[in-house]
Amino acid sequence: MKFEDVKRAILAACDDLIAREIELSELDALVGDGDHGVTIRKGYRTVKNAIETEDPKTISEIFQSAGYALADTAGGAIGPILASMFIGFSTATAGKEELGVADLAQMFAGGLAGVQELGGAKPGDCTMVDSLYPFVESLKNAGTDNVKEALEAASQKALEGSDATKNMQARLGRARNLRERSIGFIDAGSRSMYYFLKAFSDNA
Amino acid sequence: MFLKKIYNDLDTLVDESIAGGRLLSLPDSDKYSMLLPNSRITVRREKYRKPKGLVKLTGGGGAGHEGPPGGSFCRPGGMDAATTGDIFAAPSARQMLRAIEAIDDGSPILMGVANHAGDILNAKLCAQMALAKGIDVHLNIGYGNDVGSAPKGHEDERRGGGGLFNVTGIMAENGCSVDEIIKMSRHCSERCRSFGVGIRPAIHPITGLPIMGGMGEDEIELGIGVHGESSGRRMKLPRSRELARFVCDTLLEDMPIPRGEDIAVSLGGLGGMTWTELNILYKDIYEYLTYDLGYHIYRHSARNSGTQELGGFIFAIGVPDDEIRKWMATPIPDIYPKD
Repeated sequence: MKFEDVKRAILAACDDLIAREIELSELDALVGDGDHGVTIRKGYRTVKNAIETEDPKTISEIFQSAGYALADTAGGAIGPILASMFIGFSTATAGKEELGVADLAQMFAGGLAGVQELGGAKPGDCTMVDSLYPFVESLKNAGTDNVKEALEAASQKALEGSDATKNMQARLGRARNLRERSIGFIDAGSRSMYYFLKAFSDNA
Repeated sequence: MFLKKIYNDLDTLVDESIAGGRLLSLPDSDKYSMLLPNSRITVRREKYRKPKGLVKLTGGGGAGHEGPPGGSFCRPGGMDAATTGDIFAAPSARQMLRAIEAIDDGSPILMGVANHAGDILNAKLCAQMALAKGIDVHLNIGYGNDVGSAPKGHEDERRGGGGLFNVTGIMAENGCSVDEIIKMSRHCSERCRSFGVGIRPAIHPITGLPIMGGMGEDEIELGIGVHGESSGRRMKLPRSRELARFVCDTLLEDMPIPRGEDIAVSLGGLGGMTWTELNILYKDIYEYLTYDLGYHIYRHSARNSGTQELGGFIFAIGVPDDEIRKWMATPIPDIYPKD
């Protein structure tokens, strides 16, 4: 993926998530306070605005604009956690003009590391990590040089990871207070992360 | 709901409070520090900056629980940069990063972080961004000693609490390393315990909603946080002498102190206490600790500022050791302009 491809994919992912506000809020309302869609819409709107107005010139700068804009908004945990993912993408792609499968694996691993350091979530904790982690693992072991194919396979793993949160008990975030009552529902954060990864991959 | 508070505009409430606090702190505020344009970031003025190589300290927190004017700006012996967030909310990571960039000269930078979820999250993100820029930044996450926030045996889950021995500033001025400062601030916190009691509710200045509302007329809440965070534990309001014994016993049960020891105490009214109440309570605390328990109070402080009109207080006891005493008595190096 070259600069233009990354920019197109990320903006398309923003549009996809902005349009899913109600779906994500409804999912969240089953176990949470039902504002995940609003938070996600605001977050990705911020990302889109930053990329469009700041006019980044490199792949790394695209993600830096996104991360910095999210890091400027106060309140809530999702904003800083997504900011940390984009900062991780930015650091991992510094100096790169084109991203192959290995670079993408490195990039998403950088984002995952940021998210985990900030939020403290491990796979199985019923969070966004449950879709991002299998996505990264799939890319690392892609066995192909074809970016499209690798991303498509990884997205499938992310979907399976998100679906699996249905059988998990939340150990972090607000849903943790529900304890075993959180079992039986898909985690909204894992779903929005899957949609992000899927839309990025589809538009790569 | 009508918000019966003095203000101009809720959007600029925090900025106006910072501006007024600086005016009330003249001439020192302007002599030692400046507010960066269009920000809530203060930094030391050029001629009071620490020499290169010494650890620089930054920190910050929410607004709405401002202390008395004069305590919050940057100066020798204190912080190098400080930021303020919104009402009871940490500054954003981007704002923390701006503060760090403003003082970065290649020296190590140590960010003091209150032990609250939002502060930690934004500080960690700030550190990720700063490290990506090659800035030598480190986090000093506060080690909580508020016994009302988690029981004994769960010390790591305790939030903020009272800091009676603040030695990080003087250590940094005297050339201590990041590791030495972090280790010592944890040590200082481990030798203190604090406990909060809520008596009367406050009104949140932005939402207009009551903080600690819903308490019975004759009830008090035990183990509240500095923002009025509820603990769910209540009791009938006892007389001052009984309350004094209760809070002292609560702290001493968690951290037993041998008879005859020197102790430091602080009684921090949360904004809505009268001095009549604080004076009487302090007298009873003093008498219990000194006459009944045989301690020697070698340092004390009492103030009344904090969480809007919240009635209540945070009481803290600390036991210094030789190292803490040494740093408490160490002067600021004689390297800054005298005028």
